[in-house]
Amino acid sequence: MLLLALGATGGALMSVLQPQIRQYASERIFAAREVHTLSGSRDYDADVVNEIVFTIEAGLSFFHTHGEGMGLVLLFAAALVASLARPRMLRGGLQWLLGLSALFPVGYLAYSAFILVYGRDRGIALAERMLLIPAGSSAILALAGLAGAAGLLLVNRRLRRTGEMLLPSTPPTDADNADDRDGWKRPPRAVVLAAVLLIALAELGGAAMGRFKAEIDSFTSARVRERPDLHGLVGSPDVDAEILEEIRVKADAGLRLFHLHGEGVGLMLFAAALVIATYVSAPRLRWVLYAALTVGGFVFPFGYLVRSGLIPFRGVDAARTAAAFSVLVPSGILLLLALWTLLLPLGRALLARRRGATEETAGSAVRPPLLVLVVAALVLLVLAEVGGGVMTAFKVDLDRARRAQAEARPLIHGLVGVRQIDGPVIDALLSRADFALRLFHLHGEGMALVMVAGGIIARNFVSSRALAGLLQAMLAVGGFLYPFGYLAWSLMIPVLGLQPSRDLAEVFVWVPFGGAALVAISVTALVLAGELLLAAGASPGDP
Amino acid sequence: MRRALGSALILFVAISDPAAAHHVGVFIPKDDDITRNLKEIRYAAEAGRPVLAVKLFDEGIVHTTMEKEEKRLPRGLEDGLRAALHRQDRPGTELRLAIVLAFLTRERLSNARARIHRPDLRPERRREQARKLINAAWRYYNLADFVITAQDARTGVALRIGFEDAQTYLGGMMVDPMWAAAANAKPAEPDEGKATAVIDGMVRILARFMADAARIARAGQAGRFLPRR
Repeated sequence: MLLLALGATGGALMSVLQPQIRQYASERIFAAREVHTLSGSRDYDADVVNEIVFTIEAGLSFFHTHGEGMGLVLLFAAALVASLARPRMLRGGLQWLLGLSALFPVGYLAYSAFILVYGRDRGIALAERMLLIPAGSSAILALAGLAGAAGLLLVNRRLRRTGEMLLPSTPPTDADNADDRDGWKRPPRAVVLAAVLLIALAELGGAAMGRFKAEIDSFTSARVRERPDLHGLVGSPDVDAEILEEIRVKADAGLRLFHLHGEGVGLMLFAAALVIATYVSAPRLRWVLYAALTVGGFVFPFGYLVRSGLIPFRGVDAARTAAAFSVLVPSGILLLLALWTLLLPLGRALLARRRGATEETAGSAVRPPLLVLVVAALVLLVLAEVGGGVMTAFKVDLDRARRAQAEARPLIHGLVGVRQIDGPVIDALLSRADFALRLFHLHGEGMALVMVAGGIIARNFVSSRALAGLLQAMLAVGGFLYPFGYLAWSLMIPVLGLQPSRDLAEVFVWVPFGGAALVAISVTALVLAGELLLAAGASPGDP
Repeated sequence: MRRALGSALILFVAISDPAAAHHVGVFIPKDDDITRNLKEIRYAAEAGRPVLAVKLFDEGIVHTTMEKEEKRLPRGLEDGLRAALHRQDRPGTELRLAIVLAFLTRERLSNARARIHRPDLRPERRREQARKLINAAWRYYNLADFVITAQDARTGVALRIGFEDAQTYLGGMMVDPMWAAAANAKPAEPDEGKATAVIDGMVRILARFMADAARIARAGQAGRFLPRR
């Protein structure tokens, strides 16, 4: 929860203080000329400094994304370790490894700071050696161990005694019998509905954004052209093309941010609701936290949608300001307040547990999702993390191999054999292949978390056992295979070209498997909404 | 040639106040379809691939633009460029491409000048639009600068300073704001009259360059001031 709060706060600060961060970093870099191997002439150094500042900002941005992502991974993985890893030694070892991996996002803060102090290459190498590689390896080891333990349970029926209760992550002191400990408690159905609805809308948004990109771009361009004065168009095609492109990129970025934040905040919402239900015993505080979390979390991602939607009608700056003041800032503050406030009762519960006193919270226990879903999600998580590591560590080798593959197929890529003409074509291909690999890493991690959270929700909140089983099976198959579409795309780009490889990935992987996962999440949301309405109709007096 | 030199000198003298102290030529614009195609033609010619160069020219947007503006470009430019590409005449190719670029530059500058005098626009708005058009002109000019300067250094210098001054008189600047002098410099008071005078001078110089260069290209004398490799 601390990582989630820090990651979310980091993102907010980064947005608000961006000009100050840029200015501070630029001044520090110009002042430490020798460290950053600057020439001393500002007009020559400006580009170099801009690049270094960009890398520093990337580090801060990675802290934001990995802080939230790793927070969620830790929370769910630790609960699964407590529930599935039987031998005490194994359980303790895995918890320690997971605990160490909490340093991974902090590694990106160090990454940014070290670049300022030691220069770009040395700073990055230092952050990687000291924090990112050890903490990242620790996460991969822990998740691989957990996947192994879950796989063992899956294949060995004698060992399979789990399935009734998802346990908190605290290592047991006296009981190795899992059933003797308290499990996670079920949060209210309405909060869970908000989380799953947000995830479904974010996935739907992501899918629509990819599928209808051309239509969205053309709509944006048409609306911008209708308002030439507002957007500074001058009526000269070469000048206006550049302005239109910039506006389209910014509108598209807003949609991407809605997709990313919708999915991330939806998961955060569910995870935090579980924590509140399990650890916050004071009823009033619990309801205040639920309310702040649900309203803040559910509304926040729509700020990016509002921003994107307003850009063609009000201009980039006005749209940004309007979205910030009407949606992003108020809902973001509410969300941050809820996350930070939640740390207080959590800290209290931790201290109480150390003293041996525990406070009971009311509510029924949460059952873990189907084991096959857990194993699939964990394997995907490990592969996505390994993919992220490989992508960074072997970037040069990967690029070299892709370049050789592309150059061996001049007809496919329209190469003419003149280095200066072919260079930009190959560079664009490499950049897209690298981007697709990044998307495998991102979607692998995201989808693995959606699988676990969606599985828990389906198993615990969908009354029909058959439907719950079907939804979990769809999540397991669809969620597991969907991210591999990006891996396949990345591998096929240098061989088949950009568009044919994209078409293949879309037809054979994204649509069938992404569709299955999307349908599973959407149906879960619909069932939850239906059951909530039925429950409200049946007993109007209930909270 | 003499008239070009004269115009350049007049331009120099006319603009010897704050604007003249500015830095020249730091801003590197992004390529558009025309400059991209033009660079491809140039690279293919440099690589000794005449067939590819002609193909890139015939199928590209530079050719389309030249056909559209056929009547306003020097006579025989398209055929001359194709022939120069075929016979791998590098100086002849460069000079003819520079004529196309000078024409595109002149067109954007003329648009900028017209924009300054649009009565239906607020002053800040028309200056902003004119600045954008001057930036678009620079996108083409900076690719022709080498040839223009090689043909006559003073013409090149006058045009570069002209860009800087036109921007300055319209309340903008050509250089990256990170550049120290630019970061410390206060924007000059806009003066549309002086901006118009500078742009008029540049348009005249470019027209003269196009006429001179077309004559030199037809005479096959580009090799006198442009390198063969």
